[in-house]
Amino acid sequence: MKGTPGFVGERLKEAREARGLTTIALADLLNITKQAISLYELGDMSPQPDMMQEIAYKLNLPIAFFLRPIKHNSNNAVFFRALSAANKSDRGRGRSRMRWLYEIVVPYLRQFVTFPEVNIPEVGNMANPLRLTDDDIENIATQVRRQWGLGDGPISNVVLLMENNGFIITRMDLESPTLDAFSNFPMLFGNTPYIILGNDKQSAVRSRFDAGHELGHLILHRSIKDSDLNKTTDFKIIEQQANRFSSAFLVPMNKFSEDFSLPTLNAFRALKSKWLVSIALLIKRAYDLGFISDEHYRKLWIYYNHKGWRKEEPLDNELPIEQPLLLRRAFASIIEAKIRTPEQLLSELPLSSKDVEDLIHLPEGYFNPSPPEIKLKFVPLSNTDCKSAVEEAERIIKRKS
Amino acid sequence: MGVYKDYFLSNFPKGGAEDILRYVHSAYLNNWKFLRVQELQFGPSKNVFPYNLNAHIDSNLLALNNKYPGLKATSKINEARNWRYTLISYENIRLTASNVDSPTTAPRDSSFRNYFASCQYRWDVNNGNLEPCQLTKIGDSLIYGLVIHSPATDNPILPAFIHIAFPNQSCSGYLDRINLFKEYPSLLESLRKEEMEQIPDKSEVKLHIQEGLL
Repeated sequence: MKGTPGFVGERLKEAREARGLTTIALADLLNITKQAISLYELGDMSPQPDMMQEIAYKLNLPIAFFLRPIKHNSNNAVFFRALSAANKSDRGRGRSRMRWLYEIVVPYLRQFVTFPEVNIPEVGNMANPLRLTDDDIENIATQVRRQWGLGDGPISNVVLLMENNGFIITRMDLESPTLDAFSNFPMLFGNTPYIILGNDKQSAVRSRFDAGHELGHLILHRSIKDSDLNKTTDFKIIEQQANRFSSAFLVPMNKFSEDFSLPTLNAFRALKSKWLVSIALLIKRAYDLGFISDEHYRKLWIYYNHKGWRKEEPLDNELPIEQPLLLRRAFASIIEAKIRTPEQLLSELPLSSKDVEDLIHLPEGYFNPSPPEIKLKFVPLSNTDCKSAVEEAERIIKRKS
Repeated sequence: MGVYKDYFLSNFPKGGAEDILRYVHSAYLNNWKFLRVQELQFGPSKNVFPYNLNAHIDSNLLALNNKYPGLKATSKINEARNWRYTLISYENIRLTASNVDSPTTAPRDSSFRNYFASCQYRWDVNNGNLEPCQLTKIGDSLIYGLVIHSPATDNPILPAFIHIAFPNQSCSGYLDRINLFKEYPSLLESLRKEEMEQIPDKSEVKLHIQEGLL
C-alpha cells in the first residue's frame, strides 16, 4: 500500500479535534471504520490519495496541512478558562486552534513582520506556585502593574495593554458554552505568550476578566505541566489563583477601597461603569478584601439573583468588547506593502480560509465574500390585485389536489 | 429664562466656571479619601460626611482667589460666628456653595445667604432686562449664585449634580441656573476619566522584508 507520501498521522488527529469530531464521527463521515482512523492517526497506515482527498474535503483543510511535520512543544499546560466544565471535545478543539496559532499562523507572519517585544514581569520564584497565598498574588498583581507603568486606577483596555507587552491575542467563537478563553506559553515557539478569547458570550466585562485570568496563568503558572492539571485539588487551586490574580490586577485594593462607598447593588452598579468589571466581581472583591460582612455578602447575592443579573447585568450590552489588533495589523501591513496578496497569503497557509479568518481575527467572509444578496422587492397590491392573486392561488391548489 | 445665566457666563472670568466644576468635583473625591484614611465605619461616617464635604469644597474654592484679575475668594464667618464659608466675588457677582437635596431644593436658611439673595438683581419680564434690586442702593445690587451640589444616591463619592443656581430675593427658590455638567461635558468626562489608566496604542508591528520572500 503506497498511501500518501509524507502523511502525518498526528495532523489528522489535530484536524479531527479542531472540528470537534470523535473518531467514530469522522469514520462515519468518511465511510470507513473507526480502526482505520486510529491507524491513520497513529501513523501506522497512510491513506490512499483518493481517501486523502476525501479527508481533506470533509475536514475543510488543504492536503498540505496533513503533510506538515509537527514540531513538538514541551508539555507546558494549555490553560482553559472554565476547564472544569469543558468537555474533552471542546478542549481538543481549543488545543488544536491554539497550536495552529503558534505553530502555523504566527511563524508565517513573523517572516514578514516583527511583533512587539515580550515584556513579562519575572515575579520571584514560581517553582511551586501552588504555595502562593492571596497576599502573594495581590503583590504580584501590583508588581505587574508597576512594570507595565500603571498606577492603581481602572485599566482602559486590557487587551491592548497585553498586546503592547508582546502577548499574541485573538478572539474567536469557541462554539462551546463551557469555554471562555485559553492560553499557552509554548517555549519552543519564540517564548511568546498566546491567548485565545471567546467571542461567544459577548460581554465586555466578562472578557476583560478572562484576559486577566489568562494573564494570571501565564505569570503564575508557567512551570505547571499539563499532567499537573489532572489533580482535581491542584487544579482548583490553580484556577482560584488565576481568578484572584485577575481581580487584584483589574481592581487593586488601594484604589478600590477609596472608591467603595455603600454595600448596595446600586453602588456596585455605579462602580461597574468606572472599573469596567462585572458587578459580581466587585461584590466578591469587596468580600475578599473584608469590606463587607458575611451577612451583607449573602444578602447581596440574594438581591443580585432576584434582579436576574446572573444572566445579564446592567451595562452588559453597552460596554464595547475589547478587540485584539496585533494579528490583523500584521496581516494588513503585509497586504498594504504588497508583499503578498490576500489570496497568496491564504494559499501559503495550510489552513482553510475560515480558520485563517478566525485565527487572525479577520472579518467573517474576508477571503470568500458571499455573492451579493438578492433582495425581494415588496410591491404593494391594490385590493383587486390581491383578490385576483388569492383566486389564482386557490385555482392552483385545487388543480394540485 | 436664562438672563442670569447669560449675565454670569458673559461677565465672570472665562475658565472660572470650569474651575468651580473641577474644584467641587475633586472635593468630593478628596472627602471620600479623607474619610477612608480615618478608617471610620460606614454608619458613623455618614454623620461627618456632609461637614467634611463642605469643608473640602470651601477649601478648594479658595484656590480661585486672584486666579483671574479681579476675582476674590475669601473665607468669611457668619453672623453667629459659628460657621465659615467661602465667598467668591467678582465685580457685582457673588457665589457661595451649598449642599442641597435636589437641584430644586432651596438651601438651608442662613443670614448670609438671605442677605446676598435679597440683593439679587430683578429680572424685568416686560423688557427682558435685569433691573437693580429696589431694596438696596443702586450699585449694591448683586448677581448672586449658589454653587449647589449633592452626593449621588448610588455612589456618594461623586456629585449627582453641580449647578450654579440663582436664588430669588427670599432665597426660597431659583430664578435661573447653569448646569455645569451640561455646560462643560468634556471637562466632566475628563474628570471622570482622570483616574483611568489610559493605555496608549503601542501594539505596532514592524515590517521586515526578507530577501527572496517578495
